[in-house]
Amino acid sequence: MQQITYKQYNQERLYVRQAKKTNRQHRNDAGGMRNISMRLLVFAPMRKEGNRLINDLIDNFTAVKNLEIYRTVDSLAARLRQPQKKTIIAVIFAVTREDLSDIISIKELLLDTRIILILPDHDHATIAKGHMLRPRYVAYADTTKGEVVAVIEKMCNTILTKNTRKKTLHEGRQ
Amino acid sequence: MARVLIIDDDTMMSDMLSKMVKRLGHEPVCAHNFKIGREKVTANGFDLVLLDVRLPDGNGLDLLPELRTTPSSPEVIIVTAEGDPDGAELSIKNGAWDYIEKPSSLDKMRLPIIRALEYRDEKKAQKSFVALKRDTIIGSSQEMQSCLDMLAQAAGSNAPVMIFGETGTGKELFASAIHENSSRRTKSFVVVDCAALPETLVESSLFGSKKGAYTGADKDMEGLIKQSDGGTLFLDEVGELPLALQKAFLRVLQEHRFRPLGSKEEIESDFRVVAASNRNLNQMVQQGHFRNDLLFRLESINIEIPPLRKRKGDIKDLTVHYVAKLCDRYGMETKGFSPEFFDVLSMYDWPGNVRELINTIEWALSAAHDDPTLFPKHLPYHIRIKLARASISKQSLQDDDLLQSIFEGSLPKLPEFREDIITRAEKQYLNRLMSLAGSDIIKACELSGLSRPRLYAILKKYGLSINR
Repeated sequence: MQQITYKQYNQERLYVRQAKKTNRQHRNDAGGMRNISMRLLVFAPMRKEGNRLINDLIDNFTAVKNLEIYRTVDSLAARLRQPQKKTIIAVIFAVTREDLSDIISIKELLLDTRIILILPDHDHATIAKGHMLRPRYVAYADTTKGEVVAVIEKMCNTILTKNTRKKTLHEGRQ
Repeated sequence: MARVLIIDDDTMMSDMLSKMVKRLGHEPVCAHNFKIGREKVTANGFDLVLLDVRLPDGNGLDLLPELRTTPSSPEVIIVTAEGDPDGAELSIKNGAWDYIEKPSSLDKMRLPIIRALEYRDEKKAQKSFVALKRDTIIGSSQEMQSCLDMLAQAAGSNAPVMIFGETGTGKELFASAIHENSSRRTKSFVVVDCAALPETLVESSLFGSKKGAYTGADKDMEGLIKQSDGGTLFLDEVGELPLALQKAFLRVLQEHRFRPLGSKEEIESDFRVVAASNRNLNQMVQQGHFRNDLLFRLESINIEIPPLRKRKGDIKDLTVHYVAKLCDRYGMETKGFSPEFFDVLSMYDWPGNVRELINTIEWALSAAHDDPTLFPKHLPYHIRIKLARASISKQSLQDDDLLQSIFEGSLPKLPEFREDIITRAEKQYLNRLMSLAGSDIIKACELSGLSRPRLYAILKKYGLSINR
């Protein structure tokens, strides 16, 4: 599992704080999917590719109240070890094959999570390894980010529809 | 040599059946009432049970569900002197091999016994090949057992599998278990979430694309069908697959060849398909939203996972499993349970099925924090409120029903009303007494505090008998 220096740790905290601030500002004047009972966790390693993904997602998911960003596998694992009360969608960006191996080492913690996996390359071995995480969607580092955003949006809507249908059925049965 | 248990109070019939079983080369064991029959079947393994319906201390049909859950899970042939269609239906639904009226000639019993034991032999032989890996599938109820039998059958074959079940029943776990128990387990298990894929992406995701096939396709991309070559392709929420694509997919399913977007050449993929849906696909076919031929193709093996409310016997096992798992994950000491905790869980309807149960356990663990035992008060408010409301409205409904049925429009005189209520209450009491005391009149007198003549008199008044 990757080790990070104190400097990197501080950088991560600063970045996440800024990202959350931006997200909060956007949320104040946004409607839409705000009340969906789900959490969007984003794992993007501390590299420029990771920063770009986070910015893209923040730009597109201003309305999602529960957006959380993790820059190391350890911090993501720590979060997944906490009780979850909401459906989790995890966007996992493995910038390198090592990132992918690190994420696979915590796959037990991701079992109940809907994963959107972004792989570093199109190599057969990488893809086969990626499927060990049972992702609901596989994208690649060179995929247009619009695709990932469209999939997240569709997933959010599906969860919302399912929850509404479940609630209606249950009320009907009462 | 098979072991055959004969549960019949008619000793002459038992002896004759016993001799016939011996002649067929098997070992017979007799029990002459319900209680002894139950004890024998629990203590020893049997291959076949010949079960009479009217036993002195109970109804043989009540033993059927228990027989299914014993470790030996014997085949059962119901043998009755007074056959009735409802009893026959109930028996078959509860897994009996056959329902036979006591024949005039015992020879007529020979063939069903031979066939049941042949079937038993074949089933045993099949089971020995499949040691099912099912770590994530919890439950031992009869309903779940039937699903696991189908899972084992699916794992041993290469045919398409269709899994039906409400949201949260664990369709993906079943699909994954089929893959893990199949010969394809060393290759990829590829998930296609048909509900999550935007329509514009479904085709390219499934079939892949060549460079330049569409705007933004700046290199070749392998689709999920090819990625599952040698492995399993799991189509989750297959009912959401766009109609236009269903035809193309049907062809791939038949020929295992397809053309990626923008490609001139076909490629092959040796994948096995497992599909799942929480929707009524037959209804979707009738409405024209799903292709009949695709459904027909997918349904080679059909597994229907029951909702949690229909297998409440599994709630305890599921709870114990997930509490241990989650406590481990959260680094907590594992928790104990108050009996009422399970009672409340069993009373709830679980519209979100196992997934909702897991979420509820997470909530309870969070609410309990350092408390060593889980009590109903640790459960989410909405569950506790719903059950409290339901129990109150159910009680008042029962009271209302009783009064309504007595009044039937006009108000009766008070003495008549009182007499009616007493009659009903006495009848209910005696029924309960008889079920508790069985055929033991002394026990019935002790329990009721009545003398023997008084008890006989009151039983006679209501047309009840101690040797029911």
